[in-house]
Amino acid sequence: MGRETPRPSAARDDYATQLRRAREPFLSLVEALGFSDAVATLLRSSRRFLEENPDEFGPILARGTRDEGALWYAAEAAEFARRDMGYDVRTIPGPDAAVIPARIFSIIAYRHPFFDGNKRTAFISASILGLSMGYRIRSVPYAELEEEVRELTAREAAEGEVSAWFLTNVFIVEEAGGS
Amino acid sequence: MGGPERRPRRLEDLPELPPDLQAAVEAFMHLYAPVIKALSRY
Repeated sequence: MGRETPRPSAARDDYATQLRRAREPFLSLVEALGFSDAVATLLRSSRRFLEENPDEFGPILARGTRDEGALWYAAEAAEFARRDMGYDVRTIPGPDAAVIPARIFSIIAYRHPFFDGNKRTAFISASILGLSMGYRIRSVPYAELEEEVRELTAREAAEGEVSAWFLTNVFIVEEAGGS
Repeated sequence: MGGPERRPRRLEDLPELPPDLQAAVEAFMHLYAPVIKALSRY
């Protein structure tokens, strides 16, 4: 397909191996901290890696958090979403559970808790939360994803639409009971 | 009497991610770096 953004295949294989190892340590983190703080920890760590690597991920013109409360709120909102739908993190998520990372995306992308890099942080945080919950990640991102993320953000797309977008473009739902 | 006191929290007080999870975070970001970097354009 012409939409592929090429990455070296050997690197992709290494990344795929590392991605598969996310779920078990995330479950341990949830057990130790609770879901909300585990989500906040993921968010904090991914944002820090973004800020530390401007050559690879683009510059952050103003580092730091404008509204740290919004980040705690995002993590707690993910917990509310989890509880509302009765999703048990020990089970492989079906399509419905994608509303949890979609909520993280919406809060960060629309409320702008950071001085800069909110779209990037929203996309990364939601994707990594989905990965940690047990979705597989599409290994070949498409160049058009960037335009689509901008478009979703610009019109503050509803949570259900954001959820569907991640299921189409980033997440792969594992078969229930699959290994 | 109020409810249970809510302790002040800072993101930096949260623990580090377990190594395998940190590696997965970094792997995702390397894999999606072209998209992430493109999102930095104004």
